[in-house]
Amino acid sequence: MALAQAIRRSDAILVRIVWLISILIFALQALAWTHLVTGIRAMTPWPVRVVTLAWLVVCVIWLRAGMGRGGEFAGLSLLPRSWALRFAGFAYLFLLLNTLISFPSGFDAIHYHLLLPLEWLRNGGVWPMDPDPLMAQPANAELLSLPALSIHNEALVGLGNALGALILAISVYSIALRFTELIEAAEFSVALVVGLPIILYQTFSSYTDLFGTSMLFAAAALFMAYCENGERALCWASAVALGLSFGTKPCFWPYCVLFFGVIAFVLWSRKAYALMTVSAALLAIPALLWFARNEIATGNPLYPLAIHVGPIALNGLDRSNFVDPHGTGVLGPSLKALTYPWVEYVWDHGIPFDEHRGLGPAFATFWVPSLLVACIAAVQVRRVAVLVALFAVSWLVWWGPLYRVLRFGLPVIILMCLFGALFYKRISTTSLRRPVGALLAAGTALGCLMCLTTPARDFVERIRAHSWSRAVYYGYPDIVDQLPPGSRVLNRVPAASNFILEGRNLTNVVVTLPESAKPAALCDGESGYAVTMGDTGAQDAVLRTCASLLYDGVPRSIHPKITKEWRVYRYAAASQAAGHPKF
Amino acid sequence: MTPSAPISSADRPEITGTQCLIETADRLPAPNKRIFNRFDIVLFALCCLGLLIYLIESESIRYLALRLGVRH
Repeated sequence: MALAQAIRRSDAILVRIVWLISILIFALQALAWTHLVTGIRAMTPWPVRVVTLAWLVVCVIWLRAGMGRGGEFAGLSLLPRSWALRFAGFAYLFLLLNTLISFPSGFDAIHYHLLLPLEWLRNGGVWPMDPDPLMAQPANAELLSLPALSIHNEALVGLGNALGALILAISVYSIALRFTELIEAAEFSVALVVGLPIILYQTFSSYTDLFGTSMLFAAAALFMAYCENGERALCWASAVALGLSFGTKPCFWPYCVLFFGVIAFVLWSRKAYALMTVSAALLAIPALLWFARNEIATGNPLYPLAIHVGPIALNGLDRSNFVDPHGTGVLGPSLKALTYPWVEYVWDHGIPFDEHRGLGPAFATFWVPSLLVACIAAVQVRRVAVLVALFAVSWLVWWGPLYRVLRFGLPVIILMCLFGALFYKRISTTSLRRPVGALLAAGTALGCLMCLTTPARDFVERIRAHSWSRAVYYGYPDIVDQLPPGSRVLNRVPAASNFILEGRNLTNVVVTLPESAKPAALCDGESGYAVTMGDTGAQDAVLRTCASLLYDGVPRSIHPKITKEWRVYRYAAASQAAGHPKF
Repeated sequence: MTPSAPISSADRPEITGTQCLIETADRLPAPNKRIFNRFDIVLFALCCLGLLIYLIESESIRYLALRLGVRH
């Protein structure tokens, strides 16, 4: 009964979590719709807090029901049997604790993904659309940061993605179980996924790739469950999950179309036309808000992606504008890219693993034999053939239209990890089972150790600095945290994002000038304060004419070697600054 | 019903066809461990080779060695 119970339990947990996430996202989207349609500022902190509280009550009720007799959590052991999963579990626990006592990290997270929800809370909705095209993309995953930001808690903002990692692990487990009918093989696959450094880092960051990927695979797992049980609710949940992925980021559009193509084909072949139509509608609903907003703002629902199809020409950016071909985590077009899992070269002489990159030793060990076994199994088993075909097309999409950006290829990487289950299934009946298990455990342990080095170093540096403050963590002057709530701060610090200068409790309102602005513009604005860093002599000369110097020095930081000199100015009219809108 | 007899939907009308197969698989005695064949050895060799190349060539390992203060 163990296998049947494992499948039933994973399905039950997955469908509940997907509905819970959907409820939260739809409730937050309802606030945004209210603002978009009526102009009432509904997405302010209090409505978000009320929605979150109601959602938490629903979660607690579900958890209590699930822990009761016959519930999906009854008798669930939290200690996995696989050593690889135990090592990974330890790493995740450490990173979770580190996240709870730290502040958001990751370049894109603090430059884009967290600034958006801050902007929404101030505007009371997702309108007006941010002028930066990259900030105008669909943003379902960013909605999950709203509850934590509404209570000014930065430690919890990344936990939406942690939920995404959980969903991904359960989905992979469920799919692998169905393909192999072997619990150990499913655990093997999950260990490969959770041991990927890029997944480990994204779990506790506010990057959106993990969330989109998790919803994609949740959709696949739920649809497979529907195919077995025939319960329509599973198919609906699958379509909603796919829609959540569709509304996360344009890079998921081709994957979603592919996955939905398979779903539609199966439903068509079963003559379930009504269900197919309902599924297509449910797929569109979670992304509708973003398409409606972009249509109103630009006349192109798919903005910022430019559309040129025959006579239809909608404004936006070309695909190439979304990716810097020499950027971090972008693999080259040559064969060198194929060796990446073994070589893990670095782009900017920085660390080789973070939210953008790093597949780790376990993946490097098993990806080739897993792919080989999957290709052989595809010849004999039809549904493995479908999986391999899905992988092949996804890989081509990633290699071409998605410019080989590693994190955009997460669905491809996860499919390869699923092949790992087929590989283990084959080996499991031989005496090579134990050596393979040992290789997986060693690879996962090494990968986790690598991922812990940077957070552990930062943790030690914070102890050494005798400070747990936000200012020391990011390396900016303490005075930024002491400005009156609602202070308007002009950001002239190239390396620091606006999110960092929002200060402790996120009470500052940070503004920037356009790149084309002349130095004289520094004195034209309504800002209360201005911040500069490093060699900015020309700017400082202008600022001294209209503002008084409040701070000039090198702030304390956990990275003292790269910290530069900062200056904070206060404009003559700064007394009016505290009147600006805050949340 | 013997332990290895297949479960049919007629015996258990509340469960679906696939679940019948799964539950039957659960009830079957574990297969004897087969001796690995040549292809299994090739697969295992590929695993070892993959890990070895990673340990030698990966920038991540160099980075980890530097972090842990190991000279090479």
